Amino acid sequence: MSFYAHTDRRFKGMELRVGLFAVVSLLGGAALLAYVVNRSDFFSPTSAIYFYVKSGEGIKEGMPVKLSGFSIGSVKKQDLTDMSAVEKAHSAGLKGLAVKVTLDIKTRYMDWIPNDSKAFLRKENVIGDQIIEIIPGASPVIMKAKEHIIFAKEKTLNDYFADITEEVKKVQEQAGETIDYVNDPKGEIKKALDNFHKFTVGLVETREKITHAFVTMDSTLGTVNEQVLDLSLKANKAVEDLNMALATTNTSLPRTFGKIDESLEAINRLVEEMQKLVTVMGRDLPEMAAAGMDVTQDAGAVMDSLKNTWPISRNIKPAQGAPMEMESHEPR
Amino acid sequence: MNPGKMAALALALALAAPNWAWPAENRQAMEREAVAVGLSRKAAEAARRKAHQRALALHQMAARARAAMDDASGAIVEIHNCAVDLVRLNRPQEAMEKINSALEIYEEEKKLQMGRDREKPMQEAMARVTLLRAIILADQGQANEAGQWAGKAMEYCRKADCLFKGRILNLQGRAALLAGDHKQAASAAREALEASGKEGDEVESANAARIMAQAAEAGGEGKKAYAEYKKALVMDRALKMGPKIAMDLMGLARASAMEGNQERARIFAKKALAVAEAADYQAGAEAARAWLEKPAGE
Repeated sequence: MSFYAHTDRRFKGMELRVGLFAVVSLLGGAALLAYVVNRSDFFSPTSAIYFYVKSGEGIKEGMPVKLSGFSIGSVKKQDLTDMSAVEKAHSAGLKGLAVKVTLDIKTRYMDWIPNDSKAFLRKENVIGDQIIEIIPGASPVIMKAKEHIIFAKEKTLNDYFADITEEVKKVQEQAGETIDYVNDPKGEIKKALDNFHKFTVGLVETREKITHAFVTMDSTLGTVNEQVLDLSLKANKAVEDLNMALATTNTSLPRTFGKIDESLEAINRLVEEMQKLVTVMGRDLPEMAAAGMDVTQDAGAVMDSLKNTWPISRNIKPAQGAPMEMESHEPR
Repeated sequence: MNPGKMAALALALALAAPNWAWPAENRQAMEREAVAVGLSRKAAEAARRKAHQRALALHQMAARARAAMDDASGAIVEIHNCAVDLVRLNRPQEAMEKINSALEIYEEEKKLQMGRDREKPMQEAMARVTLLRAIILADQGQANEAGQWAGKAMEYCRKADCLFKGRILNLQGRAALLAGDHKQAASAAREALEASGKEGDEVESANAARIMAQAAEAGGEGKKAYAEYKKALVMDRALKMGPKIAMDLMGLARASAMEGNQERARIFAKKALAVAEAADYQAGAEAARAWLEKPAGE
């Protein structure tokens, strides 16, 4: 006999009801778990591809790998590798110790990665997280699992500043060399100037001799002859000096112009680097301005998730790529 | 069964349902679709930045994605986009090859008697492809062929009830002008103006006004040409399209010269030169310079 009598009708069949509730709850929980695991792509097959990089700085395991803004995988692992044991075609010019980075790509996305694609380490936007972005190549051959992908590091602002500093140093060095070359007392420019100076002094002396010759013209013919002889010797000397000066100038000036050309080339390189910097800043600044647009895009992503959710997705027409509009007459 | 139990059971079924009713394959198909659309959008962004080489690579990927899904009309649209990129990269011959491949896809689909649901997008895609072929032919000065292909584009466009009839009519006007038939050109441009107005295409409305002006100019009607060029100029200024503004100003210069007003003609030509140079429209700048250098009255 039970301690309490089951006189209340509500207790009738309670064990069965509790049992049924427990079974339904377990089934529901199991279904939810299966759904979540399936949604998370946990069991999706993946393919590993890899690249080598001098330093693994900025690359972390689990970092997302994206293609056209879609997450297609993640960084699987990083290993230190001795590059002397690596095939030259895959070493990307690296020697000594390097890092082998393995990417885990969802196999169904491998169709979009031609074998000449490139991987970049970049920020999603100016203040965003770093990601590995894959830029598809144009090859008709698709990359296979365990194959090597080319890694190209994007230059940062610091890199551009370092390049510019290097170019400025070169310009300074070359300008210094040019000035030293011009100022060198034993240098050809100085020699040429000395020779020119000697030539002008010689001319003055010649003029004095001529004057003297005219003054003493009324003296004896012998004296005149001597003076004329002396004059011609001086003139010959002067002409020789002039020839020497011209010869030296002919050889030294092209070298000087060569130095100046080198300096101009260095300046041109500097200007090119500046232009690249402006391009980089021009690229990054609009990105900052577009931060607001990112918020809108995030909202779009939320909408996309909703659209992908059953049963909402059933009622949504699949999206189409927009056709490019071409005018009836585009001036070219 | 009481309502509480029914609700619990329904909840459990609802939680489990997505996995049975929406299997992983369907989701993957949707993701593939999303990749194709994503590639196409990225390509459009690149084209807007005038990075046509990158746009071409992305459009090629998108075309391959569409082909992989047996989406013939989608593939034709992406191939058309590749051809547009090639035209803008000044590679018209390669663009023609792309267009030919799109035409082949269409012919094969036609033989397979595609379903009604695939027919309309296919007709619209074909209207774009044939129109692009006509544009390339017109750019190359092949008036008759351009006119024929523009006619085909119009047939496809009518079947698909497309919204770029104004553009096709303008191209027919351009082809007629190239062939020396200025009356036909004026008639096509009038229709284009009306169609573009209905379609809300301001760029093609301005193009129609310019073709009407060019037709009047070809017919020796200086005054009418001047009035039409002015209309085109107002529209192009509103659209801030530098090369088109330069073309309109040059037209005004020629129309002024036809009316015997050489001074006004030179002012317009100088303005056209300045605008063309500022807009980096080299062909327009060269035309204006040549016009200014030749003696008045020629």
